[in-house]
Amino acid sequence: MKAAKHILLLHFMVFLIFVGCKRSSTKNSFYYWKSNYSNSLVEKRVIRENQISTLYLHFFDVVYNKELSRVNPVAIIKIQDTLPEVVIPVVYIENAAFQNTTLSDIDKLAEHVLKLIRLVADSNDITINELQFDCDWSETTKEKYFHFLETTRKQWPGIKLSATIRLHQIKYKERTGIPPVNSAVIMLYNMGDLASFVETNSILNIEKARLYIDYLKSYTLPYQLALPLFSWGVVFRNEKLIYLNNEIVVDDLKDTSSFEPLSANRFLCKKGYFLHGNYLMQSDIIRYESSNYDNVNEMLQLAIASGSNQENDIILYYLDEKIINQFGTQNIQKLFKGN
Amino acid sequence: MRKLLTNLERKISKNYLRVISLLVLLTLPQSLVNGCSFGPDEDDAYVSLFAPETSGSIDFTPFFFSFHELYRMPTNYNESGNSVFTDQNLTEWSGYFTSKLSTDEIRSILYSCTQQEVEHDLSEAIKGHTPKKYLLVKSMAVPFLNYLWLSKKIEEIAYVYKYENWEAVYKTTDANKSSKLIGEIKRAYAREKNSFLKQRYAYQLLRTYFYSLQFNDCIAFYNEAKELGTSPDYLHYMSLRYLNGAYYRTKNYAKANFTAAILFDEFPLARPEALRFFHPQEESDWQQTLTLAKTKKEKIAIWNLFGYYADPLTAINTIYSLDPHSEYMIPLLTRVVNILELHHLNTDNDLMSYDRFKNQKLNDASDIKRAMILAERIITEKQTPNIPFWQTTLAYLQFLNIDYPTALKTLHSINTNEIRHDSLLQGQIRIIRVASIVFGSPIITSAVEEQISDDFKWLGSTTSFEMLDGNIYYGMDPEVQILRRYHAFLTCKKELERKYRLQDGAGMKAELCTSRKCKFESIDEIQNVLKYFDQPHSQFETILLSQYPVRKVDLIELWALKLAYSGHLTEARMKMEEVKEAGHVVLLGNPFNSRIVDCHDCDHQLALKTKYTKYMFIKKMIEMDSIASHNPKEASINYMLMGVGFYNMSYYGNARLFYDTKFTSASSNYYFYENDNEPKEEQYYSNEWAKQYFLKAMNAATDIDMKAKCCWLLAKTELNTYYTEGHSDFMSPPNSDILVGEYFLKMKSEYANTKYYDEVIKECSYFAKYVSRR
Repeated sequence: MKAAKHILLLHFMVFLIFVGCKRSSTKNSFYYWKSNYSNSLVEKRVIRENQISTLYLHFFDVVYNKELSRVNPVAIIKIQDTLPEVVIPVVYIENAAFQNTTLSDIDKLAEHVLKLIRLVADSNDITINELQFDCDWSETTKEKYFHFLETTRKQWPGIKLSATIRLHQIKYKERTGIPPVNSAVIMLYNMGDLASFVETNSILNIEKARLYIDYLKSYTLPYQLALPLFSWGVVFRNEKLIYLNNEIVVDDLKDTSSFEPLSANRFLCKKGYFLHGNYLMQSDIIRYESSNYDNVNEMLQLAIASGSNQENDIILYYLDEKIINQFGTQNIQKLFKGN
Repeated sequence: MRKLLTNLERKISKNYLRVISLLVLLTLPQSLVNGCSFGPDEDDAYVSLFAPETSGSIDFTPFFFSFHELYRMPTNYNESGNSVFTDQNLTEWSGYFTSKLSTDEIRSILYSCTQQEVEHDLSEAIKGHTPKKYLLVKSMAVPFLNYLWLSKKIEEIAYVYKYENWEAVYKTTDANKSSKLIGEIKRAYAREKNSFLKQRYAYQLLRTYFYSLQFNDCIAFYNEAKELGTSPDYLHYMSLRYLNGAYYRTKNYAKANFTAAILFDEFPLARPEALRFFHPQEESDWQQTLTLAKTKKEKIAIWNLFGYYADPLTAINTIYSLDPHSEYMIPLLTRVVNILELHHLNTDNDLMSYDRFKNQKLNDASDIKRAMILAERIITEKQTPNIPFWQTTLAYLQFLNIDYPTALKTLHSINTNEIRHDSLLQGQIRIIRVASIVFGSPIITSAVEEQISDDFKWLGSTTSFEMLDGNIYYGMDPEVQILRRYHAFLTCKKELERKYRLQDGAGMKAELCTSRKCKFESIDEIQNVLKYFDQPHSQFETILLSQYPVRKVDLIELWALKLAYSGHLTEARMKMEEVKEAGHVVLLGNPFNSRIVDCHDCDHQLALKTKYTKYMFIKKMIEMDSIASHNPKEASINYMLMGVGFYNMSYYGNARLFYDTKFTSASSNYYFYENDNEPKEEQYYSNEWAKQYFLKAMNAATDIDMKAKCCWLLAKTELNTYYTEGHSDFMSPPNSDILVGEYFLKMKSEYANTKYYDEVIKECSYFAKYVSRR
């Protein structure tokens, strides 16, 4: 009986938190992840209407080039439009880049990365106060990644550093470590099992998230939440993941002469077919995964209820006209305002 | 070649494999012995039985498919690291200079001279002061330098946006500069009379349009400049590359892909990159590409690239209907097979294992069935070259489809006369045949053994072998390597092992085939194998035995070692004496040497009067034991030396090599780094016998210094025992305290006044630290 009371109380508290989480922060922002910065009218409108003054701009990726056996930058941003007031460069570093760099070469790598960040920033009049690194590091690369971050701080005194954190890195923080940065961005997406044929939506899987989200409270870094604003087609052949196609939108799959819907987000390819740069074979199955207001908001509320953060600014990953249209500009506003 | 083979090998998680092998072990019926063998490195065991090279389409080798990617990433670079295009260009220029300039001179002029140097040379040449390097081609110098100067200028206007080695090369084009340059090159092109230079001016003009981002002009100029598209020469295909790029940049994907297909078809040198240029975006542009092909040859070219990019099976079907003789079909067929293997054999964590096929249910629409139907049709219609390869491939597909009798029937139908000179294909057929028999026989009867014994002997008779570290080393015979014969051997052995284990009385044969790495843990196990060695064997057993790496001498020596480690020295000596070759390995240092602080390297470097083999070492120990027990005066020193002997033959001693056999490696540096899944051979780490003998020596000693020495040696065994017993942080013992055992205390309390004690203090800072703290 006592236990039941407690549960009731707990439910009430959770209710209070849900009710009380209307957010009025103006620090909401977007990630920009395409390699050509040029905003469409719709994108510009969304920035304006939501008073977005900060943009997390993907500058480049650092990858390991197997063919040349060296680590080098790719997908370097080309800026061809006016940027918002505050730009925070984001650099994605592939885990393999660390796997293929010795600890003693990390300083050199950091030097290269920072030099390139400065070069891109200088040639586009970007003032940098904060840098963000995105890396799905592993136990074996932890030491190198963390050393990279420390070196960055040494080489760029006064810089604010942030890093993206995946849910498993929160739950298993003892093993994966907490990166030496000023703040974190918790990635509330890509939590499902992408390669599994039976997965329904690997971008947002609330059930999976529940297994991890409680650990958010005990995460020691101050953090922001990043939520998904993207979709893709996950293509399976013989029930095995063959590739992902970012360009696929649900409308592509409505052509019944080529695709047969199997469920709300599963489509059978009826004949060989080129679609947005990839080839679909007869009998391939496309799982269309997307984020919509309801599931994103549910994720957000869950994270707020489970977390300790007071600010609750959110970053939407990522700014793109195609997805905005699908998601609805109104819904983006609702998310940002916390309604 | 080894490199090539490494590309083929799957990298799979060893831990995963360990789990799998553990599961396999748990489900196996109890075997005769828990014996050991030296099977394949797991990574290597899952290499395909099907070798695309046996198709004979050697020109297409870079386009063969391994499990993940094309063989060797096709590049435009030749083995010396030069661009294949550069070589071709140099040859053509050499022709222009009528071979009066060497290739190296031309290379230096074309690729190394700066624009300033060219400008300087040009102005000198105009003034009549021909620079030295052009003296042999004096009359050509001015027109040539004029050309070179203009082509170098393109670098000034080119729009570049790239980063190399972290350096940004980033500039936009200057419209004025580029239109001026275009004008200059146009004029030079118009007035040039020499056809060689005229063609090159046309090419430079095309490039200038491209690099100043005037893609439509680039396309228009290509279509109007007859010099660029007439002969199958270097400039034609270099131009096609720019044309492809220009179409791509103007989003005319249909034409871009068509150009790529032509490039692949017409210029073998450009094939690797042409393949990379081909990427249809949408169904509509692909359909349009198809309509661009006017001739049969062009259609085949397009379908060929479609085969690599999208669907090789559909491509072969279409190409076959256009021209059943096309050389493109066989490389695509090999690709069909390798992709099927990728999709069907590799499951979960990508194990490449043929038993996996047993659980596959395939229907008529499945890719493997479609591939078989196609091959059957082509074989029946007999319009295509190399029918035996199609038959071999069909048999392999039937093998994959677990239809072994049909696979054998197909192989049987091959006209051997047609392939009498093709030893590679003969080898491939042999491999598929023996695998079909092994996989297709529900039990391995003596009739089956007889049927495969010749083939099996052939499979195993390679110069490839496996080292104790699990790596497979390949012999030099290219045929063996291309056929991956050693892997076929391992695959068949694995299947034989599986079947023998389920058969009554075949446990020993299973052992001979096993790829598990186990240890003979008991003497019974050793005896079982030795008994089997002495029995009469069938022909097939003789073959298996000849390929079994364990010999009688190995087992006898292991037996003797086991006796020695349990203190039975005389029995150990007698065991070794049973076989002539046993115990002949020479130990690295003096096994009776000891130091206050161990230094194995120092011991190994000392010049030795007597070098001990394993056998001599045991003999000497027995001698010492006898002296000690018969002569009380000599007891202390001899017991101590025996203790040192036991100490040195343990993991902690200088004669660790003593237990290095085919079954146990003494090369592991750290006890705790050994594979956790394997039982640890505690006997090699134990210092128990050493301790017993040091105690005996201590009791027998009359001299206090001798007692002190024994006490110190006991302290060393005590510390080793501490490490062995699982203190994994032994590399850095806790700083807070020094490990203090019974004999450290004793050293301090009973022997502090001895000379030996002073030596210890001097040499062992750890002990000195302990003493100073107290």
